[in-house]
Amino acid sequence: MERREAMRNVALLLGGTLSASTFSVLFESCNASEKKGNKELFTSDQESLITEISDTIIPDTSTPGAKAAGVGPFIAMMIKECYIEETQDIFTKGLEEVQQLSKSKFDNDFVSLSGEERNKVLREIADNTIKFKAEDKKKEEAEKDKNTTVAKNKGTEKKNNKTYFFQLIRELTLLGYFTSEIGATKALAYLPVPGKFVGCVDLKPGQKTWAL
Amino acid sequence: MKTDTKATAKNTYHAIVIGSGISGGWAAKELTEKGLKVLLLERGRNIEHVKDYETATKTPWEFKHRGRLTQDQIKTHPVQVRDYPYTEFNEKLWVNDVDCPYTETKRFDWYRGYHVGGKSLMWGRQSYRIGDFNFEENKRDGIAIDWPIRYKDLAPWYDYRKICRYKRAK
Repeated sequence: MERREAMRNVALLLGGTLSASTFSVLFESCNASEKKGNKELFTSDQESLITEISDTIIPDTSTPGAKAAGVGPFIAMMIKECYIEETQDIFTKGLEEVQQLSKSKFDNDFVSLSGEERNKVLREIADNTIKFKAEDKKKEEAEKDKNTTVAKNKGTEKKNNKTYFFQLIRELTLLGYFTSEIGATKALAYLPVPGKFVGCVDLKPGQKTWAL
Repeated sequence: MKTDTKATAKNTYHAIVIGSGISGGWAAKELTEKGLKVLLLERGRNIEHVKDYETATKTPWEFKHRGRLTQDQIKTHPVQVRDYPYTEFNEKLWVNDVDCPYTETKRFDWYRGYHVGGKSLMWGRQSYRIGDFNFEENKRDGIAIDWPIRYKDLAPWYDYRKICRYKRAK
């Protein structure tokens, strides 16, 4: 599989859009509950599960994938240090769901599944996420219709900032991979000092996207 | 006994500027250039040109959280996180709000950094001439408070600091 093709699959996994949910956690500090001390958030089994999920999203292709780029430990660290407890719980529950689905579908741990089987498990999780998102949106809109007048008067209209496991792990996989040395310099084109700004450039065949 | 008979003279100044930020820094510069003996006081550390730009040449993967803030930082910097500039890329430039508290009866977003140059090192680096049209806006629209000054009052200062009008790039 070419890297380009792998990326197309990633985009398709969740309707092609990146959400603001990852970013929004930065602004939920006021509601942040106390962290669970210095205890490790994930067991080593969970960390390998995270690694294998990320490597299913971005596998080895013509360039090394997420596992080689160290994305698994990166995600575990980010969830532990940058997210509120509520999001951490959503994430941990999501990992359990992946395990349960692997067992019910293929009678094995996710990490022991073949690539094809892993894809099927994640595909189902992704489809469910899309479904749940749509349902939540519908609910939110029904709620909004009811409260529109009140909310508008008070200026308290709320946006749905709900976080979904799959969206989270997918976003962090992409972030971790494309900002890693492997992702930035091998999968993307990396130019540390871009120099002058050129407004319009013709794409050459095989031109890679520029890294950050 | 040794006495420094020139001590008083040495420590006497025409002007003492407190704070080396965007206002104090300019004040000290102007006064010094006019020939005054100026003492500039700054509570923060010195940031040495180039040498102390620790993050300027780092690669994306050298930032542990890729620029994002940790929950710990959000807790210790509840004011600084109200807007976007405080990130992992420049985290050392901002005050720890827990160590630097202030009373806030009405919301007041106080973004601060303690170092030589103060906020002149952290601002958006863009400063345009405001036109007469803009100064008249409030009065024209009948909202808020009319500006107490007009363009002609600022124009000589704009000229003095060479703040240009927006020009189309060639």
